Amino acid sequence: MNKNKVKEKNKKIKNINLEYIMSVNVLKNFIEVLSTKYKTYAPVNKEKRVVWAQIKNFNEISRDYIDGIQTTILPPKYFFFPPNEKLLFLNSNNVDYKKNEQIHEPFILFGVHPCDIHGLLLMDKIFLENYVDDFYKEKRDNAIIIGMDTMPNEWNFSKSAGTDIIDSGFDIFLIPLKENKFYIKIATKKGLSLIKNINGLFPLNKNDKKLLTEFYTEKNKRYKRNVDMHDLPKLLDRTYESKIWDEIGKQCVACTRCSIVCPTCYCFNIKEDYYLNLIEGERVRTWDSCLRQNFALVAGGHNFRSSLKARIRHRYYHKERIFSYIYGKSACVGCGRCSRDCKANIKPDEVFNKLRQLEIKS
Amino acid sequence: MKNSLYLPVKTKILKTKKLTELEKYFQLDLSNFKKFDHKPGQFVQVAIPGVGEAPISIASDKNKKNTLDLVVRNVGSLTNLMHKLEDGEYLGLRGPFGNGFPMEEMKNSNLLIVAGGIGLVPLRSVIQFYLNNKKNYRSLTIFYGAKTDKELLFTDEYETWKTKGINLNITIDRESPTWKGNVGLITTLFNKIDFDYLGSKILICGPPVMYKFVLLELIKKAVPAKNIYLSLERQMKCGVGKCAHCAIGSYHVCIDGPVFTYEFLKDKVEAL
Ligand SMILES: Cc1cc2nc3c(=O)[nH]c(=O)nc-3n(C[C@H](O)[C@H](O)[C@H](O)COP(=O)(O)OP(=O)(O)OC[C@H]3O[C@@H](n4cnc5c(N)ncnc54)[C@H](O)[C@@H]3O)c2cc1C
Ligand code: SF4
Ligand code: SF4
Ligand code: FES
Repeated sequence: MNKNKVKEKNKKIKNINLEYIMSVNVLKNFIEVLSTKYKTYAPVNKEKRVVWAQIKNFNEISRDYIDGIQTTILPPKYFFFPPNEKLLFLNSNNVDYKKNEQIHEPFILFGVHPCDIHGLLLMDKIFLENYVDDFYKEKRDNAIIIGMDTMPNEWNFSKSAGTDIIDSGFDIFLIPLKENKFYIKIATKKGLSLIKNINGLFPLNKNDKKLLTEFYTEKNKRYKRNVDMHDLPKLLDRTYESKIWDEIGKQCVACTRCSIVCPTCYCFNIKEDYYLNLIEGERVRTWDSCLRQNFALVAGGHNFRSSLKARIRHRYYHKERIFSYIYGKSACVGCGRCSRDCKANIKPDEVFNKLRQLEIKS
Repeated sequence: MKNSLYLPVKTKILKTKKLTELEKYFQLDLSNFKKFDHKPGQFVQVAIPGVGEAPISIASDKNKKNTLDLVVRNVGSLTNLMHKLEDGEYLGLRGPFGNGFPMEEMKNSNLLIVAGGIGLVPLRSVIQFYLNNKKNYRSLTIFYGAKTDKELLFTDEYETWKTKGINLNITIDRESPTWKGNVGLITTLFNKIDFDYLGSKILICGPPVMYKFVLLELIKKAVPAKNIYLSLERQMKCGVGKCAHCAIGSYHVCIDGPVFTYEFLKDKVEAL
């Protein structure tokens, strides 16, 4: 067999594509079984919002999340790239560093949106390509992803971003249908092993296919935000001097909430701290944001982006261009979290629309 | 002990020497590294436990003794503590990182180095590389500018450089009773020195303001943008293309740079 054929064969083995229908009761049972075996995290309600938390049964999962009322505060990046992570232990007497060896075990992320899976795949490019970030990889390798489609919430524009559908990046994928049914797709060996002992999976019949179509029709109807995202990098290149940047530069208060909640914001800071014995200590990385005043300051005091206008413009340029030039994709997956949580009410879909409209006018 | 992308290697300081009021030279022993294959223009992340890391240029070419030279200007927390380190002490080291100057691509050309202040440090690795591979290059000319003659770096190497055929031109910003050479900004050298600008590769490193004025001179002389190589400085936290502190638009200076051609940079925003 030549190399290509071997590759193709491997691909076939990897790309399992099994589709079934199950009742909500079967799913409930499935989750109970899973959660005794693996730590299982899913969106749950907390103080009127939705957060990722460990669950033991289906009823704990946020109804708001499934119905597309709201999404989680944080995207799943949080599991692989935590906001505050101890990387190394240090000893200043011996001039010595040691890796903070973490114990990892497989865990399940249940209910990840298509747009958030897209976000994870982009994060993988940052953390796993060129130099492999061992801290990210160790956690990522242990994650079992069970994706789930839901209705879009009021901020989501993933349809415009082309991230409303996903065909890889998960082990299992679910779609909630009418008649108390769930569509389930198994995409990997891992996924296959999980459903091995589950009874009550049936092939799709005509009615199920109809329910599936209805789900998508309803979903597409529910998108409230639509934006023309074609050729976004080029649009941004042409509108670099647009007065829109002055406007939003004046609005933004650099609270950095948009960076915290964004599934594809990955900037971080590294710092070292002493323990109180003043000999040992640790090196920690924390989430950062390019909106912070000193983010691009260099020795000698030169700041490459001293104004807020320049910094928020950079956030957009970095997000839209870095991935599109390097990976052919926009890094805004349209999840809408930054619109939801912005202190200044800045919404990327509206920014893109304004840039395009203003360009057409002038 | 498991390895990590972020784990510095304990590295012994063999020799130190104060070069100027602000700059100190370090010779490091690389024998704790399994492999350390560096190119001119690359950098390392230097660490002092409890303080952190900073990117520092490699100031030497590969050598048989398996050592590495650094020159550090005392500007902040890490560099301040480095200035207190003496021979026989240790620091942490990760690297080498960055693309470095494309010495292969520059073969058979005249080379012109334009360095301002501490910008000569990374270019010293190019100078040493040139001396080790002289037959591959036509010539090397250096334009080097500093504020005062007291700030000149590597002064005890100038004679060797010159006797080995390097055309060294130095200028200082203001007159000084102890200085007999050129006075004026580095740009003044471009009119004083007769040089085949068009047929050469030009390597630049210095403070951000210097780039603008040097580029103006080169553009005046119609030097093709693809023959101009600039080494950029950015705030760097990781050095390996993850933290995004060093981002210029779509690129990470730590892995896509720090050396870029002017051809590449001229339409990039917030780059120069
Ligand atoms: C590729 C590359 C190569 C380099 N090579 C060399 C080299 O060979 N030699 C050399 O000496 N330097 C070199 N540098 C520069 C060096 O990395 C910086 O000067 C670094 O900041 C020094 O670290 P530090 O901890 O001593 O300084 P810091 O404590 O980080 O301070 C550095 C400067 O930034 C200012 N600053 C830092 N953080 C803040 C803040 N939060 N708010 C306000 N001001 C702040 C400080 O006032 C000071 O002027 C290089 C940089 C790069 C990117
Ligand atoms: S920029 Fe906003 S809408 Fe786009 S992916 Fe990030 S948080 Fe979601
Ligand atoms: S959330 Fe809004 S106000 Fe806060 S930094 Fe982001 S754009 Fe600026
Ligand atoms: S220094 Fe972290 S990405 Fe370049």
